[in-house]
Amino acid sequence: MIVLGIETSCDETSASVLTDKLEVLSNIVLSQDEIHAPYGGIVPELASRQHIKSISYVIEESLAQAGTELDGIDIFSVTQGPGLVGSLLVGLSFAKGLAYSQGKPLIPIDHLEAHIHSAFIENHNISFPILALLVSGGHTSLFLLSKKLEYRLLGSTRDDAAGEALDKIAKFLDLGYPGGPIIDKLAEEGDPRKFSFALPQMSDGSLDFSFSGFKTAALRKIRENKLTKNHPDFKDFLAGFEKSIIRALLANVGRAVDEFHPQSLILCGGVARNRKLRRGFEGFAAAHSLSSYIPAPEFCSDNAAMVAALALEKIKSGDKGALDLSLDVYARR
Amino acid sequence: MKIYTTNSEEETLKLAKNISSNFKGDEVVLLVGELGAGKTVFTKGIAAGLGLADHNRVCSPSYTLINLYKAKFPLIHIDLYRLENKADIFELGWEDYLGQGVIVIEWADKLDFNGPAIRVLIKVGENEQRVFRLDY
Repeated sequence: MIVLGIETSCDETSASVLTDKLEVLSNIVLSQDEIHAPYGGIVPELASRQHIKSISYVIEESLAQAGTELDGIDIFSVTQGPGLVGSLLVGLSFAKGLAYSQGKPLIPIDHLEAHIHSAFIENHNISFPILALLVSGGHTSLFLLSKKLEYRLLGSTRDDAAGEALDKIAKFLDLGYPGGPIIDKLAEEGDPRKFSFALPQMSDGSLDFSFSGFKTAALRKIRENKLTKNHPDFKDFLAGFEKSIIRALLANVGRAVDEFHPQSLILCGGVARNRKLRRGFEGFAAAHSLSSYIPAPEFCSDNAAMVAALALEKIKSGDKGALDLSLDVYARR
Repeated sequence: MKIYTTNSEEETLKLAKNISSNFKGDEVVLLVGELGAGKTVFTKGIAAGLGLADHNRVCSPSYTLINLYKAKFPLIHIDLYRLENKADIFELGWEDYLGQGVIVIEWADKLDFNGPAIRVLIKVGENEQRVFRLDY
């Protein structure tokens, strides 16, 4: 069985072809630096209407790399939400058209569930219950999976996402955008102990996150110390800021582990590419004698392989798939 | 023009809640203020004033660009932070939402909009103090 996945929930236009043994035959992601589109090399950074220009090319490329054609696809799958409605609509409408023209079923997929499921692409057997930390530019959430396909939201951010806080401080310091990966690199050479940030406390004891306080505290420190790229303590500041964000993430994971006693931990989402977060997460899991699973970087950022992989899981669990042309996108869970 | 001063996030929340509680449902609120000024907190307050049960769920749309909430009226929460030029803002298609609900736009200084709107300029003072200048 061959599955095609389509993902257009935010900036990336992506298509991927998977076999039912979870072999990734192709995973095309159209983003700034990876692929040059045939129409001039400028890749749409912005979502919405720009997806229309690239989706056909991305799908053709994913089929070509997989060595198949449209009539070789048995199941179509697409991100239904959450995300930017205009962007989601492009993917969903295109997928409906393809499935209808081929007379094949279409499986709608939740973007956040797909991120969590990305860990299963490289590890087919992960023991339940699983605690999953999803960290990206747009999301910071904790989920508990008591069994396959059962996702319970334990907490999410009340203001900025973790990746967003990193990006905003990087942009404020004129480091470039997206800033997360830039801070990741610069902070490697800094001493995180010189600048400390107080961890936010949720007064109601919930497992929600909050990062806007870090952002405000960081801005204050930048002003007080007149920090710029040339300041001798600059990398120390970035290291301290990044470390506090990682500490805040792991603090909530720790509380959730105490409360729900999972067998395994998953770290996923775009910020899961951050090397210190990966090391910190693995260290935390080892200290608690838990197995930890972090997808390869190409499956952390938005991609369609995770969409197709989750569709396959649903089929295995008895979802026959259908073609419901009245399916609509959703902006929020 | 009206000027308000707040000394905490809670006070900012309350201020915005009071302002939005008699909204008719088609207002446009343009928020301008530096990073960390409290634009998202102000929007949480607007959501609370519009009767959104859990205004804690209102979070920054910097990455997602547009967040939609169902309160007494639809709340359309838009953030232009990542958008660099007029073409990008046009591509967002936000004007399609005019008249569909209460629209709140963060980083509205990037926008040319001459229609009726509540324009909010936020200045950061000492400690947690914030000064809000509202123009109708």
